[in-house]
Formats: sequence, C-alpha cells, structure tokens
Amino acid sequence: MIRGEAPGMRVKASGGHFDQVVLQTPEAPAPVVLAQGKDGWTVSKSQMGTGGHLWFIATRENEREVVRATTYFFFPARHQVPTEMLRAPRGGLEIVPLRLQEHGGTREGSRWRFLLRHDNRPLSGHLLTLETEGGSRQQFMADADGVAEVSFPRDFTSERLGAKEGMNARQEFVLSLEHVAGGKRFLTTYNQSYNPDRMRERSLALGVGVFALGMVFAVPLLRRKEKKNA
Amino acid sequence: MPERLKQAVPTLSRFRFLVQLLTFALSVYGGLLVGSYAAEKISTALPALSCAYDSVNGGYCALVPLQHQMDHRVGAVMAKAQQITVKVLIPVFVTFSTFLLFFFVLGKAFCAWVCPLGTVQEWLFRLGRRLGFGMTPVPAGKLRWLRPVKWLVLLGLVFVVPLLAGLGYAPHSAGNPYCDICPSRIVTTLLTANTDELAIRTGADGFSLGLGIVANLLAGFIVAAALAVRQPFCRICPMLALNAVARHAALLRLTKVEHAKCDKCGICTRACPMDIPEIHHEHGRKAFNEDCTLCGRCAEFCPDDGVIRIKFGPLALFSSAREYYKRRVRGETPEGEVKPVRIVRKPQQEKHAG
Repeated sequence: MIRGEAPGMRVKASGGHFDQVVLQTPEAPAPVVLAQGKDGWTVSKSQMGTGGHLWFIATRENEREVVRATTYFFFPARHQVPTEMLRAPRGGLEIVPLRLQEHGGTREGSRWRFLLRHDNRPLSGHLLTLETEGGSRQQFMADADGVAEVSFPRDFTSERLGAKEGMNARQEFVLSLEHVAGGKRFLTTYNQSYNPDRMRERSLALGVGVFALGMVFAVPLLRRKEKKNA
Repeated sequence: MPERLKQAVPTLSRFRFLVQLLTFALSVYGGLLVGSYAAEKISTALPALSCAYDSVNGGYCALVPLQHQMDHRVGAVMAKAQQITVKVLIPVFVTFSTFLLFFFVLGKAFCAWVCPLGTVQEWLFRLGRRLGFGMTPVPAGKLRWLRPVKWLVLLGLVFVVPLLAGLGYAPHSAGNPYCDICPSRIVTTLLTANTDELAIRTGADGFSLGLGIVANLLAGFIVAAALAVRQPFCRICPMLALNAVARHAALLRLTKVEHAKCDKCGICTRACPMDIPEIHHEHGRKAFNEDCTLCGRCAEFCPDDGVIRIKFGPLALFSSAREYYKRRVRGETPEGEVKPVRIVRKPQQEKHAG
C-alpha cells in the first residue's frame, strides 16, 4: 500500500486489484470503508480524526483465497494510543503489531513483536516471513501465544547511506503470513519502512573518550581540600 | 502508627530522598508502568529533565516540545506565511499551560524532588563524601557570573536557535540544540543500558559533531564534578531558569522572616546545595532566590524557630525549629558530610539494672 499526503489522504494499493480498503483510527476503532476514486481510495480530514496512528486494511476475496494488505500511517498530533484499535477483533488472517513506532521509525537491528491470529485466535508455531528492499529474506516463528519477534536485518548498502538522504534513508519491508482454513488460502501482509541503525553514524569509542576527558577537566575540583566556613 | 512513620521518615531530607527515589523510577523507567506511547506518559511537558531520548521514561521534559515548537511551528510558519496562526499559538500555549499547571502546584520543588538529573548529582555528591573527596563550594563572587548562564542557555538554546532553524537561518540539525547538549540525555539513557546517546555522531554535519563533543565533555565534567561540587549542572540548567520565572506565583514556596541572629549565623547558606548567599543575608521575597530548588535544607539546618518555612499557600508544611536542628546535625553537617556512627558500650551498671 502507498500512502499519500495530509491534509486528507489518498491511499493506493499495489500488487493487484483490491476490492476495498478500510480505515481504523484510535478514536474510532470500528472499521470504516473508504470511498474509492479513480486514483485509489480517499480519506477525508474528518475520517482521519485528530491524527496519530491510522490503520489501513486492503482486501480482495474470491472462492479460493483471501488476500489482505495492511499498513499504518503516523503523523504527530495529540492523539489516543493505538493499542485498542490494533487488538480489536476483525476476523480473518492478521499480522497485528503489538506496538507502533511514533518517532524515529523502525531501525535496523531493532526487534518488534507481532501477534499472528486467524479469526481472532493466536497462531502458535506459524512462520512469519520478512522481505526487505535491501534484499534480505528471513522467517520468524510465533511462540505459544502466537507472537513472533522480528529482528530487522542490517542491510542498508553503503551507496544508499552515502546518498543525499543519509541516515534519513528508508527501505520498505513486507511481512507475510499464509494459512489454509476451510479449504481457503489466506494471505496477509504488513508493509512499512525502516531506517538505518543510528550507530552507523556514531562512534561509541569517541563518545566514551570525550566523556572521560570531561571527567579529567573536573579532577582539579576533586583534589581541592575542603575549606572550613567558606 | 505516627511513631512508626516518624521512625521511617525522621527528617525532611529522608522524606525527600524517598520522593526522589519514586520520581526517579517514574521519570527514568516509568514507561514500563504507564505505557510507551506519548499519550500514555504522565505528561509531555514536565518541569524536570525527564529525557525523551530515554525510551522507557514516564514523562517528557517541557524543554523538548518547546524547542520543537520553536523549530517546526513558530519558525516554519513565520518563514512560510509571515504570520502567526492558531496552529502555532495553540501548541505553544498547551505546552506552557501544562508546564504552568504543574508548576503552580509544586513550583520549584520539581528541581529538588522530581528531576532525575538533580537526583543523580545529589547521589554522586553523597558518594563523593563516602569516597573522602573534599567539598568545593561555589563562592558568592563566582555566582555573579555563573547565574546568568542558565538564562542564556534558556534564551539561546531553547528559544532562539530552534527558531532560527525553523526560519532557515540555522542548520536543520540545530532544531533541538539544548537536548543535544543536555547531560540528562546521556546519563538517564545510560541508566537504561542504552549507549546510543553516549556515542557521538561522527557521520553527521559539523554542527552536530560539535554539539556532541560539547555534550559529552559537559556530561563527563558534571558526573566527576558532582563528587565534590553540589549540583554542578543545576547552576546552569535552563529548567531552573524557566522554573524561576513564576516562582512567586506558585503555591509551594520558601519564606524567611527577619531574625536578629541571622547576620552572624549563615548555616542556611552552608546547607544550601546551590550555595545561595541571599538565604543568609536577605528575608521576605528576596530570600526565595532564582537558584532555589526548594530542597528544604536551609529550613532543616536553621537553628531558630519559625525563621525559614516551606509553605503551600497559607499552610506551613515545614518550619525551622531548634530541636529539629539539634537532631539533624547529630547525623550530618550542614555541608552534607555524614558523621560517623559512634557505637557506645552501655555502662556495666545499667546493664545489670536493666
């Protein structure tokens, strides 16, 4: 799914035709079906509410399969937390992020937890597949509670980091989950972007060294003898 | 029950220590309890250096939104539209009013009772006593040039530079320069086992690198200096300046009445972690100085009844008293030196008699 720009938004779904897109917001956790236009689906300003995390679900369905693509868009505003919205029962096959990032984005090397569920029941032992724009492909197994912990690979190339955007560079990733139930194939994806690891442009050794130098500057204060009745 | 309470909290300092423990846990690790989203925090405009870079904190320092609003809202809109709109004024007003709401109730006590960096410095000073370092007070003469620094930091790094960044006259990386040099960013994140903020941004522009070097030098200096100097960073902290602006309007405040013995005494200044001479030489409104953190040590160590008080509105919460002073100096000198515990064997006669 591709997100548009505020105020108001336009949402496009890629990877084939989708029948509908629904929106959920922390203020209105009940799904709202978006109006379809020529160039995707439109979200009015009133549907966006006060802001924060907007959760989008695009779906297409036929007799053999149900395909669902999900993502979220965040813009800083005084908002409610998205926990209730994320965990609201929806049915079908879902990849539910247990927490959504507010600032700074998901970064290389960070770990994020996702609940895998089908018809609101956790899917323990299922494999969640991660594919990134950097070319990585990894699988993560859900625990007994249906929670899979995804560790983002360090796969930004030096060319990508050397480009103008530098540490603000973004790469897309897709998490996908497949499940067969009742003779039907369910395929659900969750897509978002991630950023380079902050430590790529930082030096811990220099930081420790300069910190220690600052401590050295304070040594004369430590040596001084206490003066009485100062 | 009151006797048990008295044993657990025998002095104002002990009570403050317990409050500091609680507020330290809330400000540094409180996110684990209250939640990780900004909307779940205790507040995003706390009048204490509760660092937003600490991913598990329980609330954000008011200086964070102020810098962002100067940069992203005020500066950006002035640059684009040459006018101030409701979109600009409302967020700045919300931050200030939240800050003032907190401040109206607890006033400058946020510095000595809530601020995690203040707590860390105080604990380091106590460690310095245990390690046998000599105490270095800041003489009144040096305070004269040290005091304006906090106002310059507030004006320059919290308001002017972020505003210039928003207007496009300063680099984009100058959007939150105070956070970039704040020792609380490094110290509190280290306390959550996160070394990201200790590391210096060598790959960024020269401005960020320069700020990073200043930040680490300052943080290292503060951590070591706190072993000998009481509250070294508080003396230049812009939050102390911000808290000083409306100190006389807050419900919680310090009061001092004139007393004949005050001229020759001066124990209050020796007990003051900010070395404030005015608490010794002045009375009335002037005694409640801009540098006061409302720790209450001056009132604890004042040897005369009712001279120094901590008041909440018309109510005196704590009042200096000779008997309290006598008890207090038995365990600790006004400067904070802990007196060794003397173990005295009971006389043989008493033992038989008991």
